[in-house]
Amino acid sequence: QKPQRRPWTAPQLVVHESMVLQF
Amino acid sequence: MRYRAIDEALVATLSDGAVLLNLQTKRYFSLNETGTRIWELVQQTADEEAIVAALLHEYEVEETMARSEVRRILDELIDAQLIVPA
Repeated sequence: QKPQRRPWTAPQLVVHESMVLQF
Repeated sequence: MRYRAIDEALVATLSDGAVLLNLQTKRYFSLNETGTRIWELVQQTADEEAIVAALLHEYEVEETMARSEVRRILDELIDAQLIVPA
């Protein structure tokens, strides 16, 4: 068999708040 | 075009993505699984064409889509000051 290719999901970069970093 | 990660970028890889911290700007970011794979490929090959080729081999995606999405995420990483032209 050919190597299994993974389903594609659009790459996403999410910006978060400043080190606000909630903990 | 070739790129490299800035020295001040710290990365924690998760099962479904990664978290990045830019020590210069004190901002942090998250990447989904595909974005993380592109980040890894930037470290490995640095070359945009090679990144597209690797994604075509690993994912069910058309070349046109892969090329435009790689271009877009690289631009976003540049805007976030996480990568710079090598």
